[in-house]
Amino acid sequence: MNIEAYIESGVLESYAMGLCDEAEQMDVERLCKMYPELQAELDRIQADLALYAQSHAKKAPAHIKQAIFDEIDLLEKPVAKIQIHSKKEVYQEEEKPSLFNNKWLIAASVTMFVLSSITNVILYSKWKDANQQMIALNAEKSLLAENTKSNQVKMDLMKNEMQIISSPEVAKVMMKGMEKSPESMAMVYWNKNTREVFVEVKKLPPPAEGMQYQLWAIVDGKPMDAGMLPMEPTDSSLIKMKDFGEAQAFAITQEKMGGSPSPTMTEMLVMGEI
Amino acid sequence: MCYAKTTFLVKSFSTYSNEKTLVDALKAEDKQAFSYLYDNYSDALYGVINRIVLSDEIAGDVLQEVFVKIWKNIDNYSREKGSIFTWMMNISRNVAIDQIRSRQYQNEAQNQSIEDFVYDIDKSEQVTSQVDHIGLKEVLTMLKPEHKILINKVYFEGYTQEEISQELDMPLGTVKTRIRAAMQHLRQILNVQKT
Repeated sequence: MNIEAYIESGVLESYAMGLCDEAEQMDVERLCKMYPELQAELDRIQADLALYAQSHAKKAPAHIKQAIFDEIDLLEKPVAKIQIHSKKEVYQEEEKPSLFNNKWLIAASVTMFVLSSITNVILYSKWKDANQQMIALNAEKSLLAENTKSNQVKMDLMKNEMQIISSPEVAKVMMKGMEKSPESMAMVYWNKNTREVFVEVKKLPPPAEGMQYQLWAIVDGKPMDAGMLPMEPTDSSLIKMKDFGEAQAFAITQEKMGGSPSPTMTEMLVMGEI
Repeated sequence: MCYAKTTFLVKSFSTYSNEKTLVDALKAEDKQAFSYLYDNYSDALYGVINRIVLSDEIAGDVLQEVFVKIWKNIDNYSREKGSIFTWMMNISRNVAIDQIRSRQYQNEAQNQSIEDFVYDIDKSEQVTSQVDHIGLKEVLTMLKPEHKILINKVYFEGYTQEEISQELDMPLGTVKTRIRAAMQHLRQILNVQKT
């Protein structure tokens, strides 16, 4: 082996500077053990490099040393803890050999409890839904019953009106629209025997603000108050009016709220003769 | 064998008169010996780490990690691997290089050109009084820049032969002999300083 050539190749420097791969490293270490000259040269190179590194020395921050010692102190403590912990576990296992079985029992009962709780929640929500549906159906039922009742009342009323209108004793007078409101129309039903008078509004514009419709009976050429029409339409289309004796004609005028003692002729909407 | 140049690193304390007693004390988990080790080598290692990571903050973290590793792994150290400083220097290099090669660091640091690198070295050549006393700093200014760069790239930054070949534009086969030449030059300078 040519020691001189080996040194000249620069492999020792490369080794000292960490440039060699693993095979080269092992080669250098093996040869250095065999040849003291190589080891001496390597030592010199390492010493040179140490000096070179030292020339770059820089004051390290003061706190680092304490941080290192703190970390080293911590390294020792966890080991002690682990030992105590493992001793405790061994002790427990010896004391209660059935612990393993108990664990399964606990796991099983926890599982059962969880499943039972889930079922309870599901059933409760289903019951709640059914209850709510029942309440809704009950409400619907009573609404229908009320509708039926009110329909019955309406039917009775209509039957009553039909009787009034269809009675042979009842005179029907159609009041047609006048100049002021040619589209308007109303009916008067007058039972001469019972002396009952009804008005049926077919078509009238809503009265002006503060005004009301008033029915007049023309008796012997004189207008007589036959009563006020309600402000708003009622369920019954027939409105019972005042008794006024023998009349030849009827008319409706728009008067101030509450009515007037004599009709305002310019405000006459409809009129009809018997 | 020649240890003359490394002995200056170990101050002649009565308790640790030579490296062997120091290493033996460390292997016996003697914290006083470890404190002594830190006091004598931390600045040298911090300087090298700083040269690699180019950040005081990261260098501090790396130095801490390095000394904890030294404490944990002192049993792995054997005289055959070189001086204790060489061993600690290798640990420092490896931890620092791992640090700069981690992605986090690469995001933070910017690539430095050779010119920047040389400038950085000259600018931050903060050496301890110990080294000043020896006059090493002044002497090392005599080292040729190309040799300085080569040694720094390989020794401090852990460049591979391929990386050196590419970065410094030299044939792969000549990398080792160039390193040898650079080290020979360094030795000449150190010998001049010695005499």
